[in-house]
Amino acid sequence: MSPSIASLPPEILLIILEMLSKASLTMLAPVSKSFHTLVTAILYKNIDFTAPGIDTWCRKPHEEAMIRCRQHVFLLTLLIDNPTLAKHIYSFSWTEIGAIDVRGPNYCNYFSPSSSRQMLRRQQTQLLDGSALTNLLSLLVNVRHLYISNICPAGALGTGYTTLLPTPLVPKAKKIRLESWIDAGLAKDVLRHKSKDVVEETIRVRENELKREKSIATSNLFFLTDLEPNDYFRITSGQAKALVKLGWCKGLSL
Amino acid sequence: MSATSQTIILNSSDGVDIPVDKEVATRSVLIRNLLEDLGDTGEPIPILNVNEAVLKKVLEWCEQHKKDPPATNEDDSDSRKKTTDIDEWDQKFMQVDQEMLFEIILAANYLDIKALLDVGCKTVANMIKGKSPEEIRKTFNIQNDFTPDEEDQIRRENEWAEDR
Repeated sequence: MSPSIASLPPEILLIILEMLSKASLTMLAPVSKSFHTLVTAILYKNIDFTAPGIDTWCRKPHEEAMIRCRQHVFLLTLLIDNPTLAKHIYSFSWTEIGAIDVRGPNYCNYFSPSSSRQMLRRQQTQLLDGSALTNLLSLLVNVRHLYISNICPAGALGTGYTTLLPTPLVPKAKKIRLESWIDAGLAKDVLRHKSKDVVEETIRVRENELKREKSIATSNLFFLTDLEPNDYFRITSGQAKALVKLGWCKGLSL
Repeated sequence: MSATSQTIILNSSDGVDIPVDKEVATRSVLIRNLLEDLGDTGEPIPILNVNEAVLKKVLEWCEQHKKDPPATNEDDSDSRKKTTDIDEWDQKFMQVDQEMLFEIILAANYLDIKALLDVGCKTVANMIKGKSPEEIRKTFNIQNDFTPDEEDQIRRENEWAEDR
């Protein structure tokens, strides 16, 4: 039999597929069942929805809006269309981008080419609520590396993540990094039953932002004062001092 | 240079003896290991999975690249990822029919010639890039085994990753 692309062994096909962009992979997935299986394994392995610069003065509103659109469609796909896809995710990075109303029709139109698809997405959007991200995280049973940032109840979808879930989130995580604003309820669910060395970094807070954001932060969205002593964080001594000074944390063990 | 070069003989799967410079042949990790294990007996080395036409083509590539520095393991995964640039000589070399292209890839895999395997895989990746599912099927003669509904569902589940 003369060789064809289908006769290449999976390990070689994987090398080829890893050279392709996500956009090219989405064109390859519907080609045949065997390609779909391979593409899904690669496409969902590393999910990165971060928005660098969101907690700085160098924000890029257009890019953030694009990421928000993708996040929205991703939530619909994973939570409503096909939750089994979540088991393919090994690395998950997410910046929550607030202040953009994803329920507006434009966001459905953006990613869905046909009007019937737009209609469906709009109906699905009604089903998303403030716990969408927590629900997504609870599907991530195979995630080894978790990075989340800017998760606060002021986010477009959120009204708080303060529930303590019956089972800990991301049970197989080997590396966790929480950054910028993080809701304490969510942080607890993520960090519960994790050993100290799993938590790679910190909740990073800038001192000047602490002062600026104090009125928002102290309402309910935040933070270290709400955490139990055995929840692990590593912060710099400068940040710790700032927090203590503001009366936000007592007896924080470093 | 010819004074120091040493010729060995490879025997292709269809039984043809092919003399080749040792320096060229040992671009293949498999052949290098065989020579180390068996010692240089002067006997032809059987290459069981590669026929004469493909083996000659592979050796042509090895000849061109005999002076390349050996690949290091560390930069392997990173350099391979996402860049599908191919140098000019390699691009011309890979202008073969699909059957030969896949034969070269399989041979490079069997003979353990990482850089050639990479070039082959990049060539295939470039043939996929920028094409619609239907065009990809046509290019590689792949049968669509999805129902229209299934296909629609798959397109929907990956919408978040599409280019917009």
